[in-house]
Amino acid sequence: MIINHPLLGPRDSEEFVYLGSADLINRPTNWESEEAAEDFYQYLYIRENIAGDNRELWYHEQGDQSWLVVTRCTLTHEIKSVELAQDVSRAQGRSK
Amino acid sequence: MSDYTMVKESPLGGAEHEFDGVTVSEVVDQSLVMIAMPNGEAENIEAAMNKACGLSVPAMGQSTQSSDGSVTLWRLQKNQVMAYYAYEGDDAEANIAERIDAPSAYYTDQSDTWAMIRVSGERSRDILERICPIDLDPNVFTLGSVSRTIMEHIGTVIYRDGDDSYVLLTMRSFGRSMLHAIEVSVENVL
Amino acid sequence: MSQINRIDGGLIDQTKSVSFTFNGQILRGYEGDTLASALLANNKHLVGRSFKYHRPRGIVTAGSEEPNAIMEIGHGAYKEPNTRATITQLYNGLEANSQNHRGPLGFDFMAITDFFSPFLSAGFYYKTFMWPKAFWEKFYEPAIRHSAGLGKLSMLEDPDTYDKGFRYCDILIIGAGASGLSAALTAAESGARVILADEDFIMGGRLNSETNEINGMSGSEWAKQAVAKLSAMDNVTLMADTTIFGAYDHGIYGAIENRADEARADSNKPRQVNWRIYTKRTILCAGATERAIAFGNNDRPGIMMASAVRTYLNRFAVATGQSVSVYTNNDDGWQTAKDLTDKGVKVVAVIDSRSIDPVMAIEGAEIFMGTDVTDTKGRRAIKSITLSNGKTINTDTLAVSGGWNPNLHLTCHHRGIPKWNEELATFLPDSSVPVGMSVAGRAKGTMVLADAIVEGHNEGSSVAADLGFKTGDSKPATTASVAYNVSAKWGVPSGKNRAWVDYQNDVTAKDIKLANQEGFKSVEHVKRYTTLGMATDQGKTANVLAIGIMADNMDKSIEDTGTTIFRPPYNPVAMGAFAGRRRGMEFYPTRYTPSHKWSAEQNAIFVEVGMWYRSQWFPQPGETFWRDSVDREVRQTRESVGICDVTTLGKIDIKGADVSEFLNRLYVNAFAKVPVGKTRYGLMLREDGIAMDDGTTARLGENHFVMTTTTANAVSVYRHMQFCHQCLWPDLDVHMISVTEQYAQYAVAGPNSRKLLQKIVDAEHDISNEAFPYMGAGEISICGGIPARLFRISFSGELAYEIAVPTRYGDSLIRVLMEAGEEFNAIPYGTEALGAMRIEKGHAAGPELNGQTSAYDLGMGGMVSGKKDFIGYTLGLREGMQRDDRMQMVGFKPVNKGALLDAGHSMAGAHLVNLRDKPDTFTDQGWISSSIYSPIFGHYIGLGYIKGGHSRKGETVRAVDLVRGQDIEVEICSPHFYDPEGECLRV
Repeated sequence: MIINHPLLGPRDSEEFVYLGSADLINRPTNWESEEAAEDFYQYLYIRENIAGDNRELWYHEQGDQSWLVVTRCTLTHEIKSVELAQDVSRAQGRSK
Repeated sequence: MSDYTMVKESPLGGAEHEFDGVTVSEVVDQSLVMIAMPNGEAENIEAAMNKACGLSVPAMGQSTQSSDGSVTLWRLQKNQVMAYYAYEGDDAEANIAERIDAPSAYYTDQSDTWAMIRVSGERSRDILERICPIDLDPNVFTLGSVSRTIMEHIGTVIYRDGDDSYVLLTMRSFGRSMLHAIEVSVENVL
Repeated sequence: MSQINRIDGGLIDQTKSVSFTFNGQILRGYEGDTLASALLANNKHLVGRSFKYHRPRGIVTAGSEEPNAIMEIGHGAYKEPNTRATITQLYNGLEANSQNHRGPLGFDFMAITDFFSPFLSAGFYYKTFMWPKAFWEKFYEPAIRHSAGLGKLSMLEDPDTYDKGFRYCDILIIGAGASGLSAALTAAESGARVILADEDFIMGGRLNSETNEINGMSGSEWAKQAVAKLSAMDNVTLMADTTIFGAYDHGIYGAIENRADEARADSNKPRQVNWRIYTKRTILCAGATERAIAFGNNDRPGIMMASAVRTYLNRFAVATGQSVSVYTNNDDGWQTAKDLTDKGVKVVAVIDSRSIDPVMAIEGAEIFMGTDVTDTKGRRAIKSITLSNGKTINTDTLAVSGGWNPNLHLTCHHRGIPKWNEELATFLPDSSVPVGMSVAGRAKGTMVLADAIVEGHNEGSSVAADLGFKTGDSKPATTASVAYNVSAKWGVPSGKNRAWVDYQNDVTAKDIKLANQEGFKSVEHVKRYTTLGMATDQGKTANVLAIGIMADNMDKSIEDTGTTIFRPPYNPVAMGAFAGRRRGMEFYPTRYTPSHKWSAEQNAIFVEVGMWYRSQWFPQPGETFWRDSVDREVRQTRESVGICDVTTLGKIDIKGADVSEFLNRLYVNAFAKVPVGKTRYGLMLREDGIAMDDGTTARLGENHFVMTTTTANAVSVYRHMQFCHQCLWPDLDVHMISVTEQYAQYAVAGPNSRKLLQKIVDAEHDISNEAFPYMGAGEISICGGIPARLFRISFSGELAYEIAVPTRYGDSLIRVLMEAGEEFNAIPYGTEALGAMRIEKGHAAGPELNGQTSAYDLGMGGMVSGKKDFIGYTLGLREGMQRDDRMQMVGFKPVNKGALLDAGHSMAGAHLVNLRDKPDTFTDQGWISSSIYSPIFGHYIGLGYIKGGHSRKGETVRAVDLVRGQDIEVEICSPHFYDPEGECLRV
């Protein structure tokens, strides 16, 4: 399997470590609210079982150590896009 | 004056082996310092180092050199560059900071983190293709290219410092295993 | 008489004789022979016994599809079973032995099974050996395994070496026959990087076996010139004797390159190299394989594929018989008859199942059109055939052609399903090939050579053009166009005679019929029920034939019958090739600590901790038992001073304006206000509230921290921190780098540790208790200006420091510390003493941080801040995470202090039950996670988990270890056995 790293080009998946859904970027910020327990539960445990394009987190451990959001079709294994997780996180409004 | 004297030692004791078409030797005279760019400082730092010694920040996977050729910068990560340069003192951080003259950067000495092995000679690529998963075609991995990958389960940086010359860096504790891996390749190929 | 079947010519060197043995008999062949061609030259048709019925079997093919001629090559540890003689290059001294017979090959005692064949039909084992059930493992299975089966393993470690490698190209061309060479020529001409791989040791494919003329020269000569041209080009890599065995995701192909065994025997070079080939595009030019026809007793030695007879004749100069007959359902079969007569070999008959005009005239042969072969005779070799018209013909070789099947296996490796083609009576690749692959030549069903050449030529240039290369204007090679017409022929009605479909697994047309009758309709089910296509040849000659027979049985079209899935590997791959060089000590790398050389000089005992080699203990003269050393190391450290290499702990250098805020979000306790020059213990949770790792983090400057992690979690903690930074808080100014290997770090522990360090720390650095108190941290220098970092932290519970120097001085530092410590009787201690002291002190470590424990369970609930968000905060607050009856960490000590002293083991692993309970899963109260003999207290102590442990201190329970037969009473106590108030730390 090859992941087309946005900065480094195509690299063998042997260099990467898989984590899970890219939803893990969306960590709730409402730790003080009453809904926190429910929101964190949803955030950590509840996932769609997608047959199709799945956005997932891969870490280029044996490379530039960037976290990537890889959009991979679970039916064909085709990788449709690869983005830096840091950019995705920022685009989703996360900052400090 | 202290009663005790400390003696320094390179990771592989200066190992050097010559084979027919390939030389494998430890690189012992280079220092490595990671230079991190604080948020928002990248441009200032580049301007400062350019002014001080003519260095620019290389593209990913590439390297640049100072005007006098004494300092090489590697770009292995987005927000950091690694300085690779001939220096053997214990204060590489301070030394490079002075040469580059970019006080807002963060300097972290990595000289002792890595064992460095140079594989050179006309058969070098034949040796390396047994362990290196990245494409070393001379037109693809051009002179000055640098990349981090995994070889024989060992995280390894590979830098092309000559037409047929490559420097492999592995974490110091893995040094002997990497040297062994290269020697096995030599045995298997030559 | 030697090589009685050898004729003149061929692509072998008849001036270079090669000697080999077959079942102990010394035979001769020539350079360029395969084992099979050399055997046939010596008229050795009978080469093995069949899998189930022990029928005499001969060489059937001349390629990797061979079902019968599988042999044991070599002897002793080098012995390799199930090796196909048809692709084994002959070399001097080759030792071959036939397989699967008791007694001599010519008279196999097990051949009696053939008489019982009516009982050994499909599903026989499933039906017969069901009862009594207990007999299966002890009786039936061993008996069956003994009587069936193929070659035998040497049961010795494989002494051969293997290697792996990585190659890149723009275009991978699989198969170097006419179309593959044509594709390679145009692709290479464009400047694209080309790899051309072929499983044969000579490139050229069928051109080496045929008599076609190309560009006015022989096909083999044209191939030779094409190969020479390609090999002179820098952008081309030729890989002969290399099988592409699998197509993997995103343009990755697996390839096994064989080295000629002879070359290997002379050197220590790897026998095979397992290449991972990365390519942008692939052109599959794998050619086609001829299939058989299922007629009565079609498995006698001397019955061969028609194309194989041609290969042996043209390439290897071997006439497989003196009176040959040909049975075919297609035009190509006639070529065998023609080539034979052209070379002066007598062809007695050509039998064609089609009712058409003869395809060509064959001198001296009887021609039978619309006729089939129904039976054969001859015990160890064919003697005669019987035709459907009742006629019997004496013959010593029957060449059979059932038509050609494209070698489309690799097109199916991503679950592509081949498509039936009625005209060619075979399956063809359809559009569902792996991404980036295209197919040309006979692999695509282009059966006419002239067309296959043009197709390869065009595909090579159009793929190169697709990739942006400028293609040249060379013309494809030319050859006469020879038509290929075929009419499907699967099984021939053969009465009570058995007609073999899968030779290697001994599956007959009747077995397939029986399976169909018993309700197995799906081709996948029939395959598993009859074991058809499941032998080492994976049914390369059998599968399509079987599907045809099934379709006939069920009166369905072949399209509706379907086909099985082809999966990697295309051909068998030795396990050694997958392991490569990663065997024994090279399974994974070894990491050495800075003190390794010195420790080895002290005769330290080393232990593997992950990849690290650490000193476990340092035996002194007179110490015969490990505990002698460990107890001494603990005592001497607690009494004076001990030194331990702790370099393996993870060290992460963190710089930036927001580091304290970042750490505050990672650790359960407050880190926002750690002063410069101080270090703090921190506990990290996972997001689900479970403890992940712990360690100390020191602030060396306003924007500079250095964190330590446990040895085991160094990598995963760093990864977690990168995740938190890049994914959760991308704009925090935080820059991390591992400095684990940058510093050699030693723990210097014990009441005399400060005195020792004061001898080496440079005078300008005051490390007195006042100036450098407990949890102090700072950058200092030692021994006259050597930079160092000093941390006043303690894992042992003693006054202790950790001192770090650049690793270049790591070896020197242990020597200096030992020298300076001589007056205090300083000793080195290993991981056992380290562990003993941390248990005495009650520090949780790996066995306690087992992925199930919350901060509360660890007794660290008080540390958890309620004033900030941190990873694991919210979910750690869940009711279930804080319940009082959870497994909580406490200490345990035996009620009888003498318990286990003579047992030779500790309490570790014991489960805890209440005093009056019978120990079982239901009464289980918890377990002892870590336990040692404490030399300080003179009895065993332990850490562990027990339900509601924090409020049960003082209670007595039983520690039961049913494995080791231990059942003792233990008292629940505080985990902090040693110096619970921490007074030692602060002196």
